[in-house]
Amino acid sequence: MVNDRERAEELTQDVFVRAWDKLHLFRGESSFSTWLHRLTVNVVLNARKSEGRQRSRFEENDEDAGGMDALPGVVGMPLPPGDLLDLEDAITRLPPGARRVFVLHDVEGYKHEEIADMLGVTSGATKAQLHRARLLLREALNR
Amino acid sequence: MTTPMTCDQFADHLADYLEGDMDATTRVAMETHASSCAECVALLADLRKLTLNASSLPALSPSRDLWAGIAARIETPVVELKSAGTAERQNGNAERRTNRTSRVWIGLAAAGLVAITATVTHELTKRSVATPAIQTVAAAPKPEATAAPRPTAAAPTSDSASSESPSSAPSTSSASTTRLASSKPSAEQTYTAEISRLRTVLARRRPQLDSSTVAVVEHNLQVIDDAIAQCRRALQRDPASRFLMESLNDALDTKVQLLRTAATLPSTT
Repeated sequence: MVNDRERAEELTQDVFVRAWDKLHLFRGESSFSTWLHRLTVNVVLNARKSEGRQRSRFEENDEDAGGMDALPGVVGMPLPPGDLLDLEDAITRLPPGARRVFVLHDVEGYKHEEIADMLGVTSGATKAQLHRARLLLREALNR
Repeated sequence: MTTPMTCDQFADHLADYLEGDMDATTRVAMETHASSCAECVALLADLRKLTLNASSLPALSPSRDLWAGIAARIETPVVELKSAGTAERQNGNAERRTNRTSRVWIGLAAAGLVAITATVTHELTKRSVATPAIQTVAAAPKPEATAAPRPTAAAPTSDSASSESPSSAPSTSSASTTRLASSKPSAEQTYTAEISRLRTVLARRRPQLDSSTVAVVEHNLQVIDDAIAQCRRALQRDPASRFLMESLNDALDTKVQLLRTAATLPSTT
Protein backbone atom coordinates (compact mmCIF):
# COMPACT_ATOMS: atom_id res chain seq x y z
CA MET A 1 0.00 0.00 0.00
CA VAL A 2 2.78 2.47 0.79
CA ASN A 3 5.69 0.92 -1.04
CA ASP A 4 8.10 1.56 1.83
CA ARG A 5 8.71 -0.88 4.65
CA GLU A 6 9.86 1.74 7.13
CA ARG A 7 6.85 3.89 6.35
CA ALA A 8 4.60 0.87 6.67
CA GLU A 9 5.96 0.23 10.14
CA GLU A 10 5.39 3.84 11.16
CA LEU A 11 1.83 3.62 9.89
CA THR A 12 1.37 0.38 11.78
CA GLN A 13 2.16 2.28 14.94
CA ASP A 14 -0.22 5.05 13.90
CA VAL A 15 -2.93 2.44 13.36
CA PHE A 16 -2.66 1.05 16.86
CA VAL A 17 -2.59 4.49 18.44
CA ARG A 18 -5.64 5.43 16.40
CA ALA A 19 -7.35 2.15 17.33
CA TRP A 20 -6.69 2.91 20.98
CA ASP A 21 -8.23 6.36 20.63
CA LYS A 22 -11.22 5.09 18.65
CA LEU A 23 -11.86 1.93 20.59
CA HIS A 24 -14.95 3.42 22.20
CA LEU A 25 -16.48 3.73 18.73
CA PHE A 26 -16.29 -0.02 18.10
CA ARG A 27 -19.85 -1.23 18.62
CA GLY A 28 -19.48 -4.87 17.74
CA GLU A 29 -21.49 -4.53 14.55
CA SER A 30 -18.69 -6.29 12.72
CA SER A 31 -15.85 -8.46 13.94
CA PHE A 32 -13.00 -6.63 15.62
CA SER A 33 -10.58 -7.75 12.91
CA THR A 34 -12.84 -6.25 10.23
CA TRP A 35 -13.07 -3.00 12.17
CA LEU A 36 -9.31 -2.90 12.65
CA HIS A 37 -8.69 -3.77 9.02
CA ARG A 38 -10.89 -0.95 7.80
CA LEU A 39 -9.35 1.48 10.25
CA THR A 40 -5.93 0.45 8.96
CA VAL A 41 -6.92 1.12 5.39
CA ASN A 42 -8.32 4.51 6.35
CA VAL A 43 -5.14 5.47 8.19
CA VAL A 44 -3.02 4.48 5.22
CA LEU A 45 -5.24 6.24 2.71
CA ASN A 46 -5.34 9.40 4.82
CA ALA A 47 -1.57 9.33 5.07
CA ARG A 48 -1.38 8.88 1.31
CA LYS A 49 -3.67 11.85 0.77
CA SER A 50 -1.58 14.00 3.06
CA GLU A 51 1.61 12.92 1.37
CA GLY A 52 0.00 13.42 -2.03
CA ARG A 53 -0.84 17.00 -1.20
CA GLN A 54 2.76 17.66 -0.20
CA ARG A 55 4.16 15.87 -3.23
CA SER A 56 1.84 17.57 -5.69
CA ARG A 57 3.40 20.92 -4.84
CA PHE A 58 6.61 19.77 -6.44
CA GLU A 59 5.80 17.17 -8.99
CA GLU A 60 2.98 16.04 -11.18
CA ASN A 61 0.85 13.35 -9.68
CA ASP A 62 0.33 10.23 -11.74
CA GLU A 63 -2.90 9.35 -9.99
CA ASP A 64 -5.09 10.80 -12.68
CA ALA A 65 -3.25 9.33 -15.63
CA GLY A 66 -5.70 7.45 -17.79
CA GLY A 67 -4.37 4.56 -19.78
CA MET A 68 -1.31 2.42 -19.69
CA ASP A 69 0.29 4.37 -22.49
CA ALA A 70 0.37 7.46 -20.33
CA LEU A 71 2.31 5.67 -17.64
CA PRO A 72 5.80 4.31 -17.47
CA GLY A 73 4.39 1.70 -15.10
CA VAL A 74 6.75 -1.04 -14.21
CA VAL A 75 8.47 -0.81 -17.57
CA GLY A 76 9.95 2.56 -16.86
CA MET A 77 11.00 1.77 -13.33
CA PRO A 78 14.39 0.47 -12.33
CA LEU A 79 14.65 -3.27 -12.09
CA PRO A 80 17.06 -5.08 -9.84
CA PRO A 81 19.78 -7.06 -11.52
CA GLY A 82 18.61 -10.50 -12.48
CA ASP A 83 15.73 -11.95 -14.38
CA LEU A 84 12.24 -11.76 -13.08
CA LEU A 85 10.75 -9.77 -10.34
CA ASP A 86 8.77 -11.64 -7.79
CA LEU A 87 5.24 -10.59 -7.26
CA GLU A 88 5.86 -8.51 -4.14
CA ASP A 89 8.60 -6.52 -5.80
CA ALA A 90 6.48 -6.01 -8.87
CA ILE A 91 3.58 -4.73 -6.77
CA THR A 92 5.82 -2.14 -5.16
CA ARG A 93 6.71 -0.84 -8.60
CA LEU A 94 3.15 -0.29 -9.69
CA PRO A 95 1.87 3.26 -10.02
CA PRO A 96 0.26 4.29 -6.71
CA GLY A 97 -3.35 4.29 -7.90
CA ALA A 98 -3.12 0.87 -9.53
CA ARG A 99 -1.15 -0.54 -6.61
CA ARG A 100 -3.69 0.62 -4.08
CA VAL A 101 -6.62 -0.97 -5.87
CA PHE A 102 -4.69 -4.16 -6.64
CA VAL A 103 -3.65 -4.62 -3.01
CA LEU A 104 -7.09 -3.88 -1.67
CA HIS A 105 -8.85 -6.17 -4.16
CA ASP A 106 -6.55 -9.03 -5.06
CA VAL A 107 -4.43 -9.17 -1.90
CA GLU A 108 -6.81 -8.03 0.81
CA GLY A 109 -10.03 -9.24 -0.76
CA TYR A 110 -12.13 -6.08 -0.68
CA LYS A 111 -14.96 -5.72 -3.19
CA HIS A 112 -14.96 -3.00 -5.81
CA GLU A 113 -17.84 -1.19 -4.13
CA GLU A 114 -15.95 -1.13 -0.83
CA ILE A 115 -12.76 0.11 -2.46
CA ALA A 116 -14.65 2.75 -4.39
CA ASP A 117 -16.22 3.91 -1.15
CA MET A 118 -12.86 4.08 0.61
CA LEU A 119 -11.13 5.88 -2.23
CA GLY A 120 -14.01 8.15 -3.12
CA VAL A 121 -14.18 7.01 -6.73
CA THR A 122 -16.60 4.93 -8.78
CA SER A 123 -16.44 1.15 -8.86
CA GLY A 124 -15.93 1.45 -12.60
CA ALA A 125 -12.74 3.36 -11.91
CA THR A 126 -11.47 0.74 -9.48
CA LYS A 127 -12.20 -2.02 -12.01
CA ALA A 128 -10.21 -0.14 -14.63
CA GLN A 129 -7.32 0.40 -12.19
CA LEU A 130 -7.34 -3.23 -11.18
CA HIS A 131 -7.17 -4.47 -14.75
CA ARG A 132 -4.42 -2.02 -15.52
CA ALA A 133 -2.49 -3.20 -12.47
CA ARG A 134 -2.82 -6.83 -13.47
CA LEU A 135 -1.61 -6.16 -16.99
CA LEU A 136 1.35 -4.18 -15.73
CA LEU A 137 2.25 -6.91 -13.29
CA ARG A 138 2.02 -9.57 -15.97
CA GLU A 139 4.30 -7.53 -18.14
CA ALA A 140 6.82 -7.09 -15.33
CA LEU A 141 6.77 -10.71 -14.28
CA ASN A 142 7.23 -11.97 -17.82
CA ARG A 143 10.14 -9.78 -18.71
CA MET B 1 -24.36 -17.56 -35.61
CA THR B 2 -22.46 -14.64 -34.20
CA THR B 3 -19.21 -13.24 -35.55
CA PRO B 4 -16.15 -14.77 -33.87
CA MET B 5 -14.49 -12.51 -31.30
CA THR B 6 -11.19 -10.85 -32.16
CA CYS B 7 -8.19 -10.54 -29.84
CA ASP B 8 -8.92 -6.85 -29.30
CA GLN B 9 -12.50 -7.60 -28.35
CA PHE B 10 -11.27 -10.34 -26.05
CA ALA B 11 -8.93 -7.89 -24.34
CA ASP B 12 -11.69 -5.32 -24.03
CA HIS B 13 -13.94 -7.77 -22.20
CA LEU B 14 -11.23 -9.47 -20.19
CA ALA B 15 -11.65 -7.40 -17.01
CA ASP B 16 -15.37 -8.08 -16.87
CA TYR B 17 -14.77 -11.74 -17.65
CA LEU B 18 -12.38 -12.12 -14.74
CA GLU B 19 -14.86 -10.33 -12.48
CA GLY B 20 -17.63 -12.63 -13.58
CA ASP B 21 -19.53 -9.56 -14.60
CA MET B 22 -20.69 -10.64 -18.03
CA ASP B 23 -23.72 -12.00 -19.83
CA ALA B 24 -23.73 -15.63 -20.95
CA THR B 25 -23.48 -14.88 -24.66
CA THR B 26 -20.34 -12.81 -24.33
CA ARG B 27 -18.85 -15.34 -21.96
CA VAL B 28 -19.31 -18.11 -24.46
CA ALA B 29 -17.76 -15.96 -27.18
CA MET B 30 -14.76 -15.24 -24.92
CA GLU B 31 -14.24 -18.89 -24.13
CA THR B 32 -14.62 -19.85 -27.75
CA HIS B 33 -11.98 -17.33 -28.74
CA ALA B 34 -9.64 -18.41 -25.94
CA SER B 35 -9.87 -22.03 -27.04
CA SER B 36 -8.52 -21.13 -30.45
CA CYS B 37 -6.02 -18.35 -29.63
CA ALA B 38 -2.81 -19.29 -27.85
CA GLU B 39 -1.93 -15.69 -27.09
CA CYS B 40 -5.24 -14.84 -25.45
CA VAL B 41 -5.46 -18.07 -23.52
CA ALA B 42 -1.96 -17.42 -22.18
CA LEU B 43 -3.01 -13.93 -21.13
CA LEU B 44 -6.06 -15.30 -19.38
CA ALA B 45 -4.03 -17.97 -17.63
CA ASP B 46 -1.41 -15.46 -16.50
CA LEU B 47 -3.96 -13.10 -15.02
CA ARG B 48 -5.75 -15.92 -13.23
CA LYS B 49 -2.48 -17.15 -11.80
CA LEU B 50 -1.56 -13.61 -10.79
CA THR B 51 -4.85 -13.16 -8.94
CA LEU B 52 -4.41 -16.49 -7.20
CA ASN B 53 -0.84 -15.70 -6.17
CA ALA B 54 -1.79 -12.26 -4.89
CA SER B 55 -4.48 -13.68 -2.65
CA SER B 56 -2.00 -16.08 -1.10
CA LEU B 57 0.85 -13.66 -0.47
CA PRO B 58 2.28 -14.25 3.01
CA ALA B 59 1.60 -11.69 5.70
CA LEU B 60 4.50 -9.33 6.32
CA SER B 61 6.05 -9.04 9.75
CA PRO B 62 7.65 -5.84 11.04
CA SER B 63 11.41 -5.73 10.94
CA ARG B 64 11.54 -4.43 14.49
CA ASP B 65 9.49 -4.39 17.65
CA LEU B 66 6.87 -1.70 17.14
CA TRP B 67 5.19 -2.02 20.50
CA ALA B 68 7.52 0.26 22.42
CA GLY B 69 6.67 3.17 20.15
CA ILE B 70 2.97 2.40 20.35
CA ALA B 71 3.01 2.05 24.12
CA ALA B 72 4.85 5.32 24.53
CA ARG B 73 2.15 7.10 22.58
CA ILE B 74 -0.89 5.57 24.23
CA GLU B 75 0.41 5.32 27.76
CA THR B 76 -1.82 7.17 30.19
CA PRO B 77 0.03 10.02 31.88
CA VAL B 78 0.27 10.18 35.66
CA VAL B 79 -1.26 13.65 35.74
CA GLU B 80 -4.96 13.84 35.02
CA LEU B 81 -5.60 16.67 32.64
CA LYS B 82 -8.40 19.16 33.05
CA SER B 83 -9.69 19.10 29.49
CA ALA B 84 -10.20 15.90 27.57
CA GLY B 85 -9.95 16.67 23.89
CA THR B 86 -7.36 14.34 22.52
CA ALA B 87 -9.71 11.76 21.11
CA GLU B 88 -11.89 14.43 19.59
CA ARG B 89 -8.89 16.14 18.08
CA GLN B 90 -7.99 13.00 16.23
CA ASN B 91 -11.38 12.75 14.55
CA GLY B 92 -11.93 14.21 11.14
CA ASN B 93 -9.57 14.64 8.28
CA ALA B 94 -6.02 15.90 8.29
CA GLU B 95 -6.86 19.46 7.42
CA ARG B 96 -9.37 19.81 10.18
CA ARG B 97 -6.85 18.31 12.55
CA THR B 98 -4.17 20.73 11.51
CA ASN B 99 -6.47 23.72 11.96
CA ARG B 100 -7.68 22.51 15.30
CA THR B 101 -4.15 21.78 16.46
CA SER B 102 -3.11 25.28 15.51
CA ARG B 103 -5.92 26.62 17.63
CA VAL B 104 -4.72 24.47 20.51
CA TRP B 105 -1.24 25.95 20.22
CA ILE B 106 -2.66 29.42 20.19
CA GLY B 107 -4.82 28.60 23.19
CA LEU B 108 -1.93 27.17 25.11
CA ALA B 109 0.23 30.12 24.28
CA ALA B 110 -2.56 32.39 25.47
CA ALA B 111 -2.83 30.39 28.69
CA GLY B 112 0.90 30.83 29.24
CA LEU B 113 0.70 34.53 28.60
CA VAL B 114 -2.26 34.84 30.96
CA ALA B 115 -0.25 33.11 33.65
CA ILE B 116 2.66 35.47 33.11
CA THR B 117 0.43 38.51 33.11
CA ALA B 118 -1.42 37.40 36.20
CA THR B 119 1.80 36.71 38.04
CA VAL B 120 3.33 40.04 37.17
CA THR B 121 0.12 41.87 38.01
CA HIS B 122 -0.10 40.11 41.29
CA GLU B 123 3.51 40.90 42.11
CA LEU B 124 2.97 44.56 41.31
CA THR B 125 -0.21 44.86 43.34
CA LYS B 126 0.19 42.53 46.27
CA ARG B 127 2.36 44.87 48.31
CA SER B 128 -0.57 47.28 48.61
CA VAL B 129 -2.86 44.52 49.86
CA ALA B 130 -3.06 43.81 53.57
CA THR B 131 -1.70 40.51 54.79
CA PRO B 132 -5.08 39.24 56.16
CA ALA B 133 -6.54 39.48 52.68
CA ILE B 134 -3.96 37.04 51.34
CA GLN B 135 -4.69 34.70 54.20
CA THR B 136 -8.38 34.88 53.39
CA VAL B 137 -7.68 33.87 49.81
CA ALA B 138 -5.45 31.06 50.97
CA ALA B 139 -8.05 29.79 53.40
CA ALA B 140 -11.00 30.12 51.05
CA PRO B 141 -12.33 26.79 49.78
CA LYS B 142 -11.88 26.17 46.10
CA PRO B 143 -14.33 23.73 44.56
CA GLU B 144 -11.90 22.67 41.81
CA ALA B 145 -9.27 21.75 44.38
CA THR B 146 -11.56 19.18 45.93
CA ALA B 147 -13.26 18.01 42.74
CA ALA B 148 -10.25 17.42 40.55
CA PRO B 149 -7.75 14.75 41.59
CA ARG B 150 -4.78 16.84 40.64
CA PRO B 151 -1.36 16.34 42.15
CA THR B 152 -1.82 19.49 44.23
CA ALA B 153 -4.21 17.52 46.36
CA ALA B 154 -1.42 15.38 47.78
CA ALA B 155 -2.10 14.38 51.35
CA PRO B 156 -0.39 16.68 53.82
CA THR B 157 1.79 15.36 56.57
CA SER B 158 1.28 16.71 60.02
CA ASP B 159 5.02 16.71 60.76
CA SER B 160 5.90 19.03 57.93
CA ALA B 161 2.83 21.16 58.57
CA SER B 162 4.04 22.12 62.00
CA SER B 163 7.63 22.73 61.02
CA GLU B 164 6.91 24.80 57.89
CA SER B 165 4.10 26.95 59.22
CA PRO B 166 4.92 30.68 58.93
CA SER B 167 5.32 32.07 62.39
CA SER B 168 3.56 35.31 61.54
CA ALA B 169 0.39 33.71 60.24
CA PRO B 170 -2.71 33.83 62.43
CA SER B 171 -3.71 30.53 63.92
CA THR B 172 -7.07 30.42 62.09
CA SER B 173 -5.51 30.30 58.64
CA SER B 174 -2.14 28.74 59.28
CA ALA B 175 -3.34 25.17 58.88
CA SER B 176 -4.68 25.58 55.37
CA THR B 177 -1.80 27.80 54.34
CA THR B 178 0.71 25.29 55.65
CA ARG B 179 -1.10 22.42 53.95
CA LEU B 180 -0.76 24.13 50.61
CA ALA B 181 2.88 24.92 51.21
CA SER B 182 3.69 21.38 52.23
CA SER B 183 1.89 19.87 49.23
CA LYS B 184 3.86 21.89 46.71
CA PRO B 185 7.00 19.75 46.51
CA SER B 186 4.93 16.61 45.94
CA ALA B 187 2.93 18.20 43.13
CA GLU B 188 6.03 19.57 41.50
CA GLN B 189 7.75 16.22 41.72
CA THR B 190 4.80 14.60 40.02
CA TYR B 191 4.70 17.21 37.31
CA THR B 192 8.46 17.07 36.87
CA ALA B 193 8.42 13.31 36.45
CA GLU B 194 5.57 13.48 33.95
CA ILE B 195 7.15 16.31 32.01
CA SER B 196 10.43 14.42 31.87
CA ARG B 197 8.69 11.32 30.58
CA LEU B 198 6.75 13.22 27.94
CA ARG B 199 9.88 15.11 26.93
CA THR B 200 11.56 11.77 26.28
CA VAL B 201 8.64 10.59 24.16
CA LEU B 202 8.57 13.84 22.23
CA ALA B 203 12.31 13.73 21.61
CA ARG B 204 11.97 10.23 20.24
CA ARG B 205 9.11 11.22 17.95
CA ARG B 206 10.62 14.52 16.84
CA PRO B 207 12.03 13.14 13.55
CA GLN B 208 8.54 11.94 12.60
CA LEU B 209 6.88 15.31 13.16
CA ASP B 210 6.65 18.29 10.91
CA SER B 211 9.46 20.72 11.69
CA SER B 212 7.18 23.76 11.77
CA THR B 213 4.91 21.97 14.24
CA VAL B 214 7.90 21.17 16.42
CA ALA B 215 8.95 24.82 16.28
CA VAL B 216 5.51 25.93 17.45
CA VAL B 217 5.59 23.41 20.27
CA GLU B 218 9.03 24.54 21.38
CA HIS B 219 8.03 28.18 21.26
CA ASN B 220 4.96 27.57 23.38
CA LEU B 221 6.93 25.47 25.81
CA GLN B 222 9.30 28.38 26.20
CA VAL B 223 6.40 30.72 26.96
CA ILE B 224 5.09 28.31 29.57
CA ASP B 225 8.56 27.79 31.03
CA ASP B 226 8.90 31.55 31.43
CA ALA B 227 5.60 31.61 33.29
CA ILE B 228 6.74 28.74 35.50
CA ALA B 229 10.01 30.51 36.28
CA GLN B 230 8.21 33.72 37.20
CA CYS B 231 5.81 31.85 39.44
CA ARG B 232 8.69 30.15 41.23
CA ARG B 233 10.54 33.41 41.75
CA ALA B 234 7.40 35.02 43.12
CA LEU B 235 6.78 32.04 45.39
CA GLN B 236 10.23 32.40 46.88
CA ARG B 237 9.23 35.87 48.02
CA ASP B 238 5.68 34.90 48.99
CA PRO B 239 5.61 31.15 49.68
CA ALA B 240 2.16 31.25 51.30
CA SER B 241 0.39 32.69 48.29
CA ARG B 242 -2.26 30.31 47.13
CA PHE B 243 -2.70 32.33 43.98
CA LEU B 244 0.94 31.84 43.05
CA MET B 245 0.81 28.14 43.79
CA GLU B 246 -2.27 27.75 41.67
CA SER B 247 -0.65 29.77 38.91
CA LEU B 248 2.39 27.52 39.08
CA ASN B 249 0.27 24.39 39.01
CA ASP B 250 -1.79 25.73 36.14
CA ALA B 251 1.35 26.50 34.17
CA LEU B 252 2.77 23.04 34.90
CA ASP B 253 -0.55 21.49 33.96
CA THR B 254 -0.59 23.45 30.72
CA LYS B 255 2.91 22.25 29.96
CA VAL B 256 1.96 18.63 30.55
CA GLN B 257 -1.08 19.02 28.32
CA LEU B 258 0.95 20.58 25.55
CA LEU B 259 3.60 17.86 25.75
CA ARG B 260 0.98 15.17 25.78
CA THR B 261 -0.73 16.63 22.74
CA ALA B 262 2.59 16.94 20.93
CA ALA B 263 3.59 13.39 21.85
CA THR B 264 0.43 11.98 20.29
CA LEU B 265 0.47 13.99 17.10
CA PRO B 266 0.31 11.82 13.98
CA SER B 267 3.49 11.26 12.05
CA THR B 268 4.24 13.16 8.90
CA THR B 269 6.55 12.18 6.08
